[in-house]
Formats: sequence, structure tokens, C-alpha cells
Amino acid sequence: MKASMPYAFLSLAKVRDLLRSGVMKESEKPCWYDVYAAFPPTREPVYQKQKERFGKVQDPVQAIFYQEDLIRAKFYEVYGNGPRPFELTQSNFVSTCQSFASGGSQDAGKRDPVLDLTLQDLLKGLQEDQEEQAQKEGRLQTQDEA
Amino acid sequence: MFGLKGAQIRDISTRVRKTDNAIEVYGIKGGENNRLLADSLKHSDFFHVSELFSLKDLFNARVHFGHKKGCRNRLMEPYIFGCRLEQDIIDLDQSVLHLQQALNFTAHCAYRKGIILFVSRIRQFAHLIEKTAKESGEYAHARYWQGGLLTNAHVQYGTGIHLPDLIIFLSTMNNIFEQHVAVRDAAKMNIPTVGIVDSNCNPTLITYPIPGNDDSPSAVKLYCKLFKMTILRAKDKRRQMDLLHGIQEELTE
Repeated sequence: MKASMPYAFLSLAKVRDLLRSGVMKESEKPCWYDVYAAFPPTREPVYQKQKERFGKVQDPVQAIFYQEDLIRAKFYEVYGNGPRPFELTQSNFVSTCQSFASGGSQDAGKRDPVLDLTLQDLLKGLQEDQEEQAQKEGRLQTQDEA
Repeated sequence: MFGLKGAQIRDISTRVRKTDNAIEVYGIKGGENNRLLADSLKHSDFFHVSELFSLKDLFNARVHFGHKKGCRNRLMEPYIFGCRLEQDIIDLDQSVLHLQQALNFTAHCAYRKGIILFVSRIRQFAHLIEKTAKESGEYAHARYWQGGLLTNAHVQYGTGIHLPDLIIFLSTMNNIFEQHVAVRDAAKMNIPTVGIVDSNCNPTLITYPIPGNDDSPSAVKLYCKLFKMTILRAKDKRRQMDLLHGIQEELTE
């Protein structure tokens, strides 16, 4: 009962009514009153309790994945952790995996010939996998829509 | 220093003023002052707070990093951009808007000589916050919060106490990952709050929430710098306007 009732502790309306009725004198008017009236927040600060989620509900927050993640996953599957460690002190550091993933999509400068060959194979394999998945998803979507 | 002992908290966290000075404090002296205050509200960004920071600055200060998916508060879901390998990423577009609103509000409050209180319970940044408050001429309470500080102020500190007009939370959580008592108490005492809400916080009771990271030193340093700059800017502007209008008022800092 108490939890479901929305209650706003701080509200402009409350202060306005207090001033109008005379309970709060003009001299006691808070200095933020005019500022709040002129620049109200995006959302009125009404208290809400966190509602629990029951059962299998879809997560409203989307997962962030990029196209390069597929290539990265394949790279780490084949080569493990990579030849050199990550230098986190440098903000512009490019790891072996990153140069591998970006070098595959465009014609970059220096490329390891051995890695290059494997990349070609990987990309071909990935493209085939993606096409298969797209076909499957196409079928699923038409089923959902129907 | 600020808030070291229980007895000293009284001097630092609340400013005692006599009731007969209340009219002078709120500046309801005459038409001149009212015009000064009313003019400041006409511009959408009177203090140009949007020029103080950019989205790139927020990104570089790691403001977009939230907690893990399991720690997430469902009420923060509208402010979260997405989840990268179970770590929540806060939407910086929204953070920019909220931060602009919050800084604008703080600036106006400081322009009207309001008392601003910085509150946080992160021990790592207690000194930084106290230093920021001192440099901006306002107050800080980064230590243990006694229960009746706001709600029982008249009993604890005597009558004629003047409570803060704005409370800025650098983190709305306390040391046991619950909402800081001051959030609820400020709302009870009709004190507007500006607060940095991380992905594990409840943003609903904060008047001007700012979704962002409250745990990284780079992020907190950025917030402290921005708040300090806005408050000093607003106070300088007030001094300028007073001189312009020929009113001799000294800001007690």
C-alpha cells in the first residue's frame, strides 16, 4: 500500500501552496524557488522503489557488440592471448588483435604474411557463417511476423 | 579542517545566521535586487555552463563506466546506453544534458547567495571534496553523517540555524551500498539536491540527477572542477552585477 503510492517529498507545488496560504512568509521563500520554476528538472523527483523482475523478462538494456567482435573472437580462439601484452599506459596503443581485425577490412600498410593468409580464411569462414545466420534469422522473423 | 570532530561539524556544515538578517540574505530589499535576480532567469544559460565541458571530456574522464550488470538498479535503466560484456555503459548524451541542467541550477543558487553543501561518503575523495568546497567558498560534509543533522538541526545546533539551500552529492551511496540518508532528509526539508548517480543508485529522489561514474578518481576530479568553476563564476557574476547596479554588498565567504 505505502510502497505503491507515489510521494514527492520536494515539490514546487508544495512550496507554492505554502506561500499562497501564508504558512511560509515571503521572507522565508527559499532562494531556489524561482530558479526551480524557471528551470525545472527533466523528471519530477517522485520517489519510486525498484520493482523486482519475475520470470523470463527481456533485458531492456541492449548488449553492445560490434562486427569486429566476431573477428576478435576467432583470433583469440586460434592464437590464444596474442604475442605481446597490452600496454594500457599508452592511450593510442593498438594490440595485435586490433591491427589484425582492422587490417583485414581495408588495405593497411604493414601486414604479417602468415597472419594475412589465416585472416583471409577466417574472413571467408565468417562471411559464410554470417550468411547462414542471416538466412536463419530471415526465416525466424517471417515466422514471428506471421 | 572540515568535519574532523563532531563539534566542528556544526561550524562547517551549517551557517548560523540571525533571523533579522534573513531579509538581507534572500535579497528582498527592493526593486533593484529583484530585477537583478529576475534578469538572470531570462537567459537559458546565463552563466554559460555548457561551455565548461564537452562530451569528449566526460568520455576521457571515464564518466560512462557503470557497475556490473548484477549491481544495476532498474530505475537507472533509462540512463544506460548498453551493456558491454556485463559492464553497464552510461549514455553520455543524457549525462551532458543532465550535467548542464545541474550546473545551471547550482550557478543560479550560488548567484543568489545560497549555501551549498557537498556531501559524499567515499573516503577516497573526502579530502578532494573538502578542498573543492573550501576553494569555492562553500561547505562540505564528507564524513560520517549523524542522523539528525538536517531533520533535527534545531535541537542539535540551537534555534536560528540556516540549513543549506542546495546539497551536491558526489556519490549518493554510503559505505554499505545503501542510499545516503541525506538524500531522503534533504527532500524532507525541502532542500533541492544535485547528485551523481551511478548505475547502482536510485535516482528518483534526487532533484537534478547526473548519470555518471562516481568511483573513478578522474571522473570525481572532473565533477569537483566543474562544480568549483560554476560556483566561482556565479559568485563573480553576482559581484559584477552588484557593482554595476551600484549596490554595496560584501559576499561573506
